Amino acid sequence: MKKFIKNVLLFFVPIILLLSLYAVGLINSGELLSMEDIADKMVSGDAELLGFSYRNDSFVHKHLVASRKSADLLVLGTSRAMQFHDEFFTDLSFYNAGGSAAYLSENLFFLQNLPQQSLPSILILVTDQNFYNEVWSGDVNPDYSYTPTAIDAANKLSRLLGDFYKVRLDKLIFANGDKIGVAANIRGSGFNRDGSYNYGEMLTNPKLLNDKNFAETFTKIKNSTARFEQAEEIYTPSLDETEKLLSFCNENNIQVVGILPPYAPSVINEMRSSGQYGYIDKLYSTLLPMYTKYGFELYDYSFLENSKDEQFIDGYHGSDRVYAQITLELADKSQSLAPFIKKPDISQLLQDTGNPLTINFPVKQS
Amino acid sequence: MSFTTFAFMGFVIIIFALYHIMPTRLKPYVLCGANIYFCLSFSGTLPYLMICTVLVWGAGLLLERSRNKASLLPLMLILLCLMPLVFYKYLPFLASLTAPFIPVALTLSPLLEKLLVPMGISYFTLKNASYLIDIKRLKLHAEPNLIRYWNCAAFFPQLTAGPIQRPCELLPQLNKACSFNAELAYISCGRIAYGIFLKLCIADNLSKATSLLQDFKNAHELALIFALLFYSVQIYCDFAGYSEISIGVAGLLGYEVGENFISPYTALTVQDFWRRWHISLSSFLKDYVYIPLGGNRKGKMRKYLNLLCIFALSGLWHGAGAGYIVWGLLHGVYMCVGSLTLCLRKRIKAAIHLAEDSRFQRVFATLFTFVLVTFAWLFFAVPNISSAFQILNKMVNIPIFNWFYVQECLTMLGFTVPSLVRMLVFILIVFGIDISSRKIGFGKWYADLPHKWHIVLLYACVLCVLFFGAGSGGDFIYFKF
Repeated sequence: MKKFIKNVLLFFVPIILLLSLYAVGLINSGELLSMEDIADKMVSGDAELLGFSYRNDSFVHKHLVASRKSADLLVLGTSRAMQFHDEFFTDLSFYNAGGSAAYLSENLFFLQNLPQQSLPSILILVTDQNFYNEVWSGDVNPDYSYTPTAIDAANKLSRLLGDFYKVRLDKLIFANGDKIGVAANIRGSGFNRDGSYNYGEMLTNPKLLNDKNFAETFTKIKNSTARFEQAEEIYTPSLDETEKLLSFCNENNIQVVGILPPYAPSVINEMRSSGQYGYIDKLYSTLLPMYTKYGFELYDYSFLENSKDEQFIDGYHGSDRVYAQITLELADKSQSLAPFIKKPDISQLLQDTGNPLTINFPVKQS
Repeated sequence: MSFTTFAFMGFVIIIFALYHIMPTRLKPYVLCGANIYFCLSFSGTLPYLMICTVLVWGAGLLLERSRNKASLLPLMLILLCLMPLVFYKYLPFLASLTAPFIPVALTLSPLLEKLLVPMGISYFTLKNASYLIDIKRLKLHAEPNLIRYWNCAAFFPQLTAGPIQRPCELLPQLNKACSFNAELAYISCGRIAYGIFLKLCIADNLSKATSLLQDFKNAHELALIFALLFYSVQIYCDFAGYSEISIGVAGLLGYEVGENFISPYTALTVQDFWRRWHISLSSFLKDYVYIPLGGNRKGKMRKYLNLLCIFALSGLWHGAGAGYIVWGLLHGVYMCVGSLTLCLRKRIKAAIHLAEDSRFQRVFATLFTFVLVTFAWLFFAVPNISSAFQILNKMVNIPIFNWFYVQECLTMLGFTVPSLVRMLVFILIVFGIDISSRKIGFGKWYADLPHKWHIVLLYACVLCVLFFGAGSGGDFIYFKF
């Protein structure tokens, strides 16, 4: 029996050593840090990028930082709001909370759960078109709160091991702490300090893009699935939800600039020519009176003129270049935002980089 | 407590240490405690198992005393022993079926559906039934010691999904309170590692692909065919993986358990398949149902009827649903047709000069059997008959496909080209092992390997599980039965 136990232990020695290396890498990458510590580092400037590979706490992170930062200009919405950067705007404090909502109701929930002093004075509200489709409407789970999920270290380690062929372990073991999370350290992707998103390696290596030639998006359109569900009419309860959100902003002196975010040109053309997305064409005219009632503004960029397919990460996520273009247009159109937009700087950022997905943004294109 | 969790592994290590440290007289108590602790991890299971164990143990003693007398008592006791299975598994189904017609069923149906079915009820019940029948058949003496019978009936490595090791095989080993057997322990480690590899590296990594059979509305035709093929592989690796772990854990404690799978997908006929697939259940049905019904001794018609009967029963044992019964009946039909056409097939082979044991004939027969078995799995994977037929309808209407279509199929199945290649390599490895062990079973095959190969295989399994395994894994498919 003793010999058996000795042999079993000996067998496991190299495996334990190997696991230890990965465990050190995982801990050093910051993937297991508490959300409080991460928020401290991001707000204080100790860390510049947060990109988890094995956690999905972006809602919590965005809410925590937005609460602490109390930005004057706040961006709210889904991942389609994440490419507005601090650098587009003047010195007023800015935070991009894009990625903190998957449904329209979650935007109001986000604001309602901010401390009063953290509410912004200007809100860029990016409302995805599919919010007005019945499939994507819904109330926030009454039990939901911005509480971080418990960290299951064994599960994270197991997932890191599963990704061994994608991960350079040395980058994790010798991480210096300015990037938090495995994705941030390996691919350079994640949330910047201002809350905007950095696609990292994906921008320079087109092979990493998931939706090549938007094949996946076109399949979604064809199958009427995953944000591309077909509908002729706007779902009325979503309009009620919008009214609640705008009314809340009005009561709290938040000036709202609404944006219907862009699709890649060929994608919106495909949707329109299919004749199955009537609700999208009706959105702007239906929503505009709701916004103007409170003196708010709304801009429809579903089809962004002068944009090109290659400037899109996938069928419905524009790159930094697309959102810089939108901001530049807003400088001319939006009364609320115009004073705060750094028009000359954006023009400079939009100079040709040789890559349609990037802008002249050397600091952030890590 | 699933077999592939750290909690279970820690539990096994503690029980292994305690069991072998304790003096022989205390070992049954260690095992008894382990069984109780394991049952406690599944809510609602322990009280049920304990009550049933005491009742069956008492019934066994009663049968022992009256076994020379002709009476209806044995039959009544055996039927009583099967009652919980009927109550928990089939009554809710019957109530839901009859609810539109019978008012009582309408009232009872929602209540019955809320019943918490004890874990492993089907396996536990068959074990108990086997115990009582074997006492009646004078194959076994009733166990006078309740703790020992509890250890047999609720033996934790076999509780959740078998193997249904008969008490006549397990009780004598429990009576000896097995001591440490180094050779068996080494082999058991290999079996556990291989079982975890089958479950985490293959079965669980195929779950996304096979889930297409449940959500098939927008799936491509070719993707559905692959999903079904992968289901064949998944259910085998899931259940065989579980069985290897179960047999391995029992082996660590010193108990020997027979093979539950012997390379089933290398079977040459459907009959051969059933000699290799879920052996503990098929041999139970053969010994306790088929043979008592007359087997093949009462004429051809009766034989075919008996075959259909036991396969329908086998389907029903897996679940109260029309799909399971169709699955069972399909296998019954395969067996009957196989038997009916045996002479004809022999004549055809002779006419075309095809030797019975030629390589071509064996490969063809293996592939043909695999296709038949895989087709039947459709009704098992999708117990809703109308859905199964909708899938079938899609499968036979494959369009002319191009590379883009194939790529879309891969995406639907949740594969990238590298992950598909990796999966195919794993499947080929398992198939290679199955071919090598098809005559003697994995346990004996592994035991016969040189020691250095044991180490290589162990490291290969552990590293594959660490780097390619699907985390701590999902539930085993056969847990629900």
